[in-house]
Amino acid sequence: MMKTTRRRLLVNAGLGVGGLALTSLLPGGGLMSAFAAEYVDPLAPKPTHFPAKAKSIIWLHQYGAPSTLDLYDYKPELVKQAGNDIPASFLKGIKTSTQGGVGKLYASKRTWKQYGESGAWFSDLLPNLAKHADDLTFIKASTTIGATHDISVLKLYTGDLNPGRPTLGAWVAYALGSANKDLPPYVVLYSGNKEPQGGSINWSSGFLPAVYQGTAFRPGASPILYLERPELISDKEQRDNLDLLKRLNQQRAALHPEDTELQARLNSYELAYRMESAAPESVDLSKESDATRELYGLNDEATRDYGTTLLRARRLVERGVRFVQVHTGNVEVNGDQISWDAHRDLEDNHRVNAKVVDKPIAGLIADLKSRGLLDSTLVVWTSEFGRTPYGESGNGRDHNPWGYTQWIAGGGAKAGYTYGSTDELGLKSVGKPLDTYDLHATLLKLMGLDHLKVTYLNNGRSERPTVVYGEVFNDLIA
Amino acid sequence: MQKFKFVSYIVLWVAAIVGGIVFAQTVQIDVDQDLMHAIDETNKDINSNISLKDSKAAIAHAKELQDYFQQVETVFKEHGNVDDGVDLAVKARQAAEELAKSASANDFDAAQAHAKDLSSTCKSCHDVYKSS
Repeated sequence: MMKTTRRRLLVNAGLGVGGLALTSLLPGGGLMSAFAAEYVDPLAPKPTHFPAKAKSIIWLHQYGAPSTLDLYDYKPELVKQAGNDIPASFLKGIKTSTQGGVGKLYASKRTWKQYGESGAWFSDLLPNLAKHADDLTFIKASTTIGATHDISVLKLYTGDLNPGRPTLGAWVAYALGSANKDLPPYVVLYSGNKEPQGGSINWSSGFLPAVYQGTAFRPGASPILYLERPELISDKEQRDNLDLLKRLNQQRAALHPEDTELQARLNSYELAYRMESAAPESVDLSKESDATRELYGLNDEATRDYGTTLLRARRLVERGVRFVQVHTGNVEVNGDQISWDAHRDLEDNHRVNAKVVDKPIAGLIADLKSRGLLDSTLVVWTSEFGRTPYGESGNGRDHNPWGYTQWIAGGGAKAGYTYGSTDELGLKSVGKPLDTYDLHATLLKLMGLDHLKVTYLNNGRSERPTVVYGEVFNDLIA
Repeated sequence: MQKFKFVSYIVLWVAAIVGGIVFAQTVQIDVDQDLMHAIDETNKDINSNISLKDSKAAIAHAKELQDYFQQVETVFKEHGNVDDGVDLAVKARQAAEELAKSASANDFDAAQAHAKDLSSTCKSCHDVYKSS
């Protein structure tokens, strides 16, 4: 069915290697993965199941797992009991597969204060975010599975412990299509100088067509590799080449309407061309005001990197991107490049990591609010798990999948509300816990989607984002 | 059939303070790995059947699950002293029975609710009985 020789000749002669490489980086994966696409325009906007409260999600993954016990979940009893062994009753039903053993209960040197009408607790590590207490919806009974980062991160994104399933952003792109024909519906941003730990599996489309995978935007002025037109080809030459290719492909498509691979390829070429100008513009901060740049902390070396990433996130949702997935990068703590993963030296680790994100996240919320975008943008602050109240290495904390805090804001979430709690020491969730599948089901509902009806037939089986689980937590919805 | 060990960390938590370290005594229960895999796959199939409103396949898979959970119940009973495991196996089997009834009546909303109960029961059991 395919005139490979003709097509390859045209690709090589007309677009050059750069163009070929460019299409391979696009949503849809360019030439090869276009073969997986199913219909003419897989990114055409699609209707919701019910009225959506949110149009976009900005997903703030705090990689390495912050200790929410030292940010939001104030535990006076932990302060009192610090230095003692954790009572056996608190450990009932959990497997403490620690690297350094179960240490003595550990309290960091935090001071705590309640903020806003909601009276939410914040530690001194988040003075800027604390001012938005009444904008946030805390989930203090979060739970997950696993004790290693890679596995729990995979579950955070896909709902499963094994690779192969689509990430939440891919499901959103699949279910809603694109709201901006010039940009991918699912964009991944990261700070720091390397790609997020775990890599592209955490923005994969899994068994969904590759067109729905996340597109990673690199830090810097050129967000996508090989996006710029090759120097030796003028804009007119490139447009003429694309038009010729389009006409030839359209002629063939008219003769063979069953060739959906060709139709998907037509989309990929055109999106690539449009993105040459749209993608750099979407992340170009030169026209942002000084006040906005200051709001995100771009004037401070400590917050400039993450602030830049979040300001880009705002610009992307402003332009209709459905799902912006932001990963924190490593930061320098006492000469080492590390994440929130504070197995030791929690004081220094969290002092630096919190400073990096506090002002930019507060700035993002304030900026979205002032532009009237917070009502339609759901901000999700999340991590793969939390950290234990008992210490590790004397001054760190171990991984805790049994009880930790996440929050959501805007986009129809119940502002100033706290769902659930952990026990008196902050080890386990109390009452009905919210697992990652429940978070996914609830976020999808806010986007106007029923997680049971977002389905895709894979190898004869109807698959859904929440695997065989998932419950909408209506308490979180305004 | 390959066997592997499921380890309970809740049944006999004999946690004691010894030299400042809390430790737990565990109970090992031999459960057929293939059986667990079959339950997992059949549960996914049944959720698919409900989504596709395929009552015939849903009923067939629900019956398979009833049989599987009967086997799990037997394993727990033969082991002894794991009443919570027996209860969860019974609960899962009953959810599969109710699911089959709902599918027979083409009531897929009710079938979905039973499927959710069934999956929750599986999760509750695995919160207690983890693979080693």
